[in-house]
Amino acid sequence: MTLKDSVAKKEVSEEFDLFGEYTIEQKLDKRYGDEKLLMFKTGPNMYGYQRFHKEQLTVEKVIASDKTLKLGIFPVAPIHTPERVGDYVMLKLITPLVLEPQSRVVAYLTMPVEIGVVRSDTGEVNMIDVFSVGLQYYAIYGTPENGLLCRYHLTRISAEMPKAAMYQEAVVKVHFMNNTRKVMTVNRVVLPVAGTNFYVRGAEAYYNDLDMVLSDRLSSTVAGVRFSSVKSGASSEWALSEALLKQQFKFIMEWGL
Amino acid sequence: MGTVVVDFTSIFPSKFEFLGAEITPLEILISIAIFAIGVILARVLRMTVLRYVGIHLPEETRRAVNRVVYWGIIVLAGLAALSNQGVDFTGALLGAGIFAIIIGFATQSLVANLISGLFMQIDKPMKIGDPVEIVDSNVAGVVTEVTAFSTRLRMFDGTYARLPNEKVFTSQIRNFSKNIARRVEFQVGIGYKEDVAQAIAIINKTLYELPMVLVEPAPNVFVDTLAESSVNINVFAWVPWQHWFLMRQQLVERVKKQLDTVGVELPYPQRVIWFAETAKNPLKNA
Repeated sequence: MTLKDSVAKKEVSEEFDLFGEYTIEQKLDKRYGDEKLLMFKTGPNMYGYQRFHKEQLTVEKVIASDKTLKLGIFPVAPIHTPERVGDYVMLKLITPLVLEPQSRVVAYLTMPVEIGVVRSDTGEVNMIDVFSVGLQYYAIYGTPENGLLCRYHLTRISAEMPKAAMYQEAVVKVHFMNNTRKVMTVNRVVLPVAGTNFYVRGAEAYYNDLDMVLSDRLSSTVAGVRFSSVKSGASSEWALSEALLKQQFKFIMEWGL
Repeated sequence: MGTVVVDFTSIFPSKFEFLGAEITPLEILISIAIFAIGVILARVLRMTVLRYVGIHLPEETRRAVNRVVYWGIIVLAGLAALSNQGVDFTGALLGAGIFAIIIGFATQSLVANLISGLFMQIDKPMKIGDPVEIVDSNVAGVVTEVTAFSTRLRMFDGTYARLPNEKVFTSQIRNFSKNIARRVEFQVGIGYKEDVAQAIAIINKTLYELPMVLVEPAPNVFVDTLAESSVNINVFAWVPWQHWFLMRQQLVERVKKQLDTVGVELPYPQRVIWFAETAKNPLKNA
């Protein structure tokens, strides 16, 4: 199922504006939380784009296009607002997860998303605008000397798929594997998110499944975080957004779990 | 018709004298070949070092390594070429030694700058683009260039500063971008009659609303001193180093605004004067 099909069906409630690709014939307005987007044709090859935050104009752009303009509105990696300072996300567990030695657990977390407005009619994806619905927080994973700046997000851990905050969160399924011979406590999951994309269904977002493998090194226990080798939990009704290119990654959490 | 015999040896003598050594044209050719091979070798090695080692080095170090490799091989090739001619370097070396001592004294500061520049490449207290403060010279700005002899900075007011490497190397250097975060620190004084816990809660809320104030390490807001006119509250908040100046401005302004909104008094210096019971109150009598 392509993204276009999923949007065309509009199976999810019409009360909320959805993620998807839109063709701007004359005028189109969309609302995502406190952000209102207005896209309109101003001339034969000219389009206007405006974004209002709480009804106050915050972004205005003119887009030149010699054909009918198509804009995609998708969840993107939460690293752009208010300014890009890092490529990582730290998912801080409100309740730490205690893992038995040599055990495996599958659980759901939520992760923050930003909303990107991308132009997809040119053959390549160009980001026109990006914004966050709600507040953003940042934190250091590690120390100020050697650490990483991460987008910070507090999340509950749940056995069932949780209801994520619309336009603000995506669901992520994590396969925790404790390969050590000790009882381990996981307080956070840190991963690079630049260049990765989300699955979407209506106004909901879902991130790639992750593997978090705890293992012993010489003097400490580290965790390797990567895209899961298990097939994505997103069912066939979820479509992969075309906002950004998908990349593989593997990140070693060496400054604490 | 008589035969003309040309004695080429008179035009091209079979031996020359060069720096006290007798050399043949063949030896000259061999020397030129040695030098040419040296130049080619220098170029090849420079390219190889650049390709395999240089990409892992910072810009300034890469340039220095580049020059050392290239000119080092050229000089060695030159010496090898001259040695081939049987040139005796003993006298030259002695002369060069004396000359070097004289030059060393004359250009002491120049050499000191050069050596300091080399040590700075090893120590790496800063790199191009870093905002730094050279404390002993009272100069602060962004590093634009580090040459063999000097360090150049674009000061924060836009002016240009050139500092000899010796001064920079021996000075205390404060690099504002070496760590990914810096702490904004300021103090707020509230009136003695105000609720300290409420003021701290308001300050914490203000910090919480600014995305660039880091959640971890957490901000620290606490009563520092009970001063003459106010209860002084310290505000420490970590921010990405690039945002330090902006956050410093915004935080002080926002904290003041929020405390004003709920009517927390930020007092002027004041002194409470008590009159003894028996003394006359001049204000009452006025």
